[in-house]
Amino acid sequence: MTDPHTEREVPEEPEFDEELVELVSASLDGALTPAEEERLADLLAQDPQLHAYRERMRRIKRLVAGAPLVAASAGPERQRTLDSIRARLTDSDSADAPPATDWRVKLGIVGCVLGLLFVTWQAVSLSRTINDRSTAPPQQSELGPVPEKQPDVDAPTPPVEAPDVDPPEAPDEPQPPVDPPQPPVEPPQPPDEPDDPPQAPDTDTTPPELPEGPVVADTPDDPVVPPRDPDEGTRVRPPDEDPAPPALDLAALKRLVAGIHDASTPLAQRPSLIRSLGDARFDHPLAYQTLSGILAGTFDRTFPIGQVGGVPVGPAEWRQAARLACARLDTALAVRTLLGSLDAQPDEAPAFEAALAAMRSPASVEALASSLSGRVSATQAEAAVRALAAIGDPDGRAAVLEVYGNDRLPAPLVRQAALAVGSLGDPACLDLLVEGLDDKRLAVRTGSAGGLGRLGARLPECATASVAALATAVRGRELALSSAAVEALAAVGEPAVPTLIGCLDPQQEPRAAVRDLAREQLWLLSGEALADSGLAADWWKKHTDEGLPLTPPNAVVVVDDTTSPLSLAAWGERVVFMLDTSGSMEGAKWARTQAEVERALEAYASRRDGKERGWANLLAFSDAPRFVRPGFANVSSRRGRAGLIELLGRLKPVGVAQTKLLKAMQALQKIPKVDTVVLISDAGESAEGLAQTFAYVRRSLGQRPLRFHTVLLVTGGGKLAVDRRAGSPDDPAGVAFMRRLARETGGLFVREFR
Amino acid sequence: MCEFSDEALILGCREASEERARALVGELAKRHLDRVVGFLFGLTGDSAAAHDLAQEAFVRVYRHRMRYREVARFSTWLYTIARNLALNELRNRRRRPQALGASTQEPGLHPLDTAPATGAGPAQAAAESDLQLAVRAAVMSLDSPYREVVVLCDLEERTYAEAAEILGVPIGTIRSRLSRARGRLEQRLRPLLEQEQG
Repeated sequence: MTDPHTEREVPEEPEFDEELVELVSASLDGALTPAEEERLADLLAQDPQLHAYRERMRRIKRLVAGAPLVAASAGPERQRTLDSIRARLTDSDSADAPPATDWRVKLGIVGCVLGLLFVTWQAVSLSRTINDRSTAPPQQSELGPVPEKQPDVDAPTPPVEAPDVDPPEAPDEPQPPVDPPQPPVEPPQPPDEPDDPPQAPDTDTTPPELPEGPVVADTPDDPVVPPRDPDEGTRVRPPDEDPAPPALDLAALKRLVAGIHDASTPLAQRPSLIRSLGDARFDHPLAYQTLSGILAGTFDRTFPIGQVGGVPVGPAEWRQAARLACARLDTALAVRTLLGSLDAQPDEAPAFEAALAAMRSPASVEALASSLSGRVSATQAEAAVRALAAIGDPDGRAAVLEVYGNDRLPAPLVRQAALAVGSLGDPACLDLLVEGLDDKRLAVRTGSAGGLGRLGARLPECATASVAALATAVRGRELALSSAAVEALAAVGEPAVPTLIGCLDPQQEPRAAVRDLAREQLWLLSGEALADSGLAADWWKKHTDEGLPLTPPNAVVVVDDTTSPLSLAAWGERVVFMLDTSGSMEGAKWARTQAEVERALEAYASRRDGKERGWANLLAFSDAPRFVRPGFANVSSRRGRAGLIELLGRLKPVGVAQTKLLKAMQALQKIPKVDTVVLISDAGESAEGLAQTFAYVRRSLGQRPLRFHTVLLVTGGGKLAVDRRAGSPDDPAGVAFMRRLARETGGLFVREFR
Repeated sequence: MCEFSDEALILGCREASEERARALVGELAKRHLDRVVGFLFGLTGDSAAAHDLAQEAFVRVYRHRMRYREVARFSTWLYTIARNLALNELRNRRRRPQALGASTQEPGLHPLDTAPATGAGPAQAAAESDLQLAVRAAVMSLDSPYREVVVLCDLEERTYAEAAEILGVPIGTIRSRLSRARGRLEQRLRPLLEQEQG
């Protein structure tokens, strides 16, 4: 069919609406959410034409895959092309190194002289400008990269630093210091926070000592953030919190910036100098400009990198120091500097969020709140919402509520806002959160359930209403929402325990996955393995009679020697065991892995009756990931379990293979319907690699209702216990990664103790 | 050398001598040449240009080897470079003066939309089934944004996330573009499929 006016081909009217076609298409790639899977299955069952349409689509996908657009080059032709490439690579080298007498060199020398004259002139101008300048905030352009991204054919935004064909202009770098460099520079004032040693791979070969009984954490999770549980009370600002700001010390600031820029500054000293920019005396555009440049990575190739005491010192450490400095400055400009640089370093989003969450001043809260009404990326908005939730200042409430009420914003962002609404502890928000349980988007519904849990935990007067709404949500049809509601009930604590106990009863809750989750949460609250509702009711009676406390939410939960924590963890309906088979897992660690998986499989089967099925598969990863069987095994049946255990027995760690978690996560993304992942590893990857993996999980898998239980092995011979503490700044990268992955997805972090 | 991953090779270039770095990039070219040429052909519709651009892509990889960061797979980086080169080439084509009457473009069409149906020679064409040729022609007749995702997701078997990274668009966009592309292919190829089944 053609359009009579343009003569262009016009597609025929499709027989199904666009949304339905998209569902069918995505189902071929395994890219549907569980809710969409369910919906499509219903539609397919009702409509044979749709079924036939899907089969045609599937056939087309196969045909396209089998019809490459251009044939592979024949042997000699291919060889010629490869030879041409090699020749051009050699030419490329010679082109990069022109002879010294080349006219371009002469031109370069002339350019340098002119450049020096220009820089001198600029320096004089800048000196005058700075001396005359008030402390008014600089324009956004002074703070480095523009935060928002516009899709542009000329300047695509690849995930990595791909060389553009038409290279954009170099980003603005901070002006060189006016004063000549005078290293070594005395850091103006030692930072208040403990120094943050660069995180090294988890090389500790001895597990930590197991604390006696449940132990409350007493150390912060992040070097920037003071110890704070997300459920703690709303911050109340002291009434007269307005000390006179210290006077600006511009001369010292210039010396400091010069020291940071000086290539001869000792390697170990640079992070310390950068952190010193956080001194309140340096609240000046020059400081923000410098910090912005460091955070955006424009200095990455300027400073020398290396190791200090076996620990790498490079761009990641400079950026961490810059984030600390911003958090200490605690100003609106510091907020903008952090948010403005976030998109340039998406893998470090958690560290940016931690820095933002550490801010306390009214100006910072206002800047965070106002950023939500400006033009910011989804990543920036999400970071601002998380930070406002962590700060808990009532002044941020209006902005968070606005995000929560806007159904045109991305669902993950609105979900974060729902959680933040609960954390901010306003009883007036109770009804909003209850309404949110009926939102059209699953992520928002589950987020609202989480928000109700936080609100109920924070405000005793809201606990009863929260529990009632969550109990209704548990009984709903959607497994993801029911699961989120069970976790939220556990967050509320004592008022919700009877409801959780009711969830253990198969008559009341027919879904094994929900019962399992309720059992897990009751175990975490009680410290006892409560197999059924009768045992749980006995425990609850004893608990209330004797007035015993519940296990605190941030404790180490130990089980008896005969039980594995994995045996008590909830699995849902479909679980993937991600098993690290890299060389470092050889020996006792691998034997422990096999034993734990086997025990967990048996325990899982014992919790299912004959009719209830559970599915599992093993994903072995080292250099490259691979599933041990093409489909999931029904582990509720003895035969299915035995088959999987046999495959497990055949797996062996590979001597020279390295851990490549990112690839394993990418493989996992291709598998639909998985609701639980058990990751067993020694996390022996670089800090940078782990950060990338975490960012990937957040970005790609975070939108699926997926729980990660993580098991960190150190020697393979210690005792395993669930560590629910917030963590310590001294945690090695592997520990921090495994903890954060479990905490953010609602899973358990199991680690080895002596 | 084959036992090393692509990422290990490109990262190895950083520390290696120039000669060694050339050898490593040469190995990467050996591994990826055919697929990159296929991808570039999908974008440009011109077999010779695809080969030239593939060469240029590997030269860029070598020149910018220090800029690679292990945020994504090497192949994602390589395809991003290749795509940039292809877009640049197409832009330059539009700027080049053309002789009167030489243009085969319909007004308002992107150069990609008028790309030839196939780059296969007569011998190859003879060896293939009519259905394969029709599929290829149908893919090449798609508008460029749709053709890109079909090439990446169905031919290259990349995930939505990887395709999104290469094309610089959100994952949701990949999903909707792919569904529209497949819907159009289904419409165009339905008679052939029915004939084949009948």
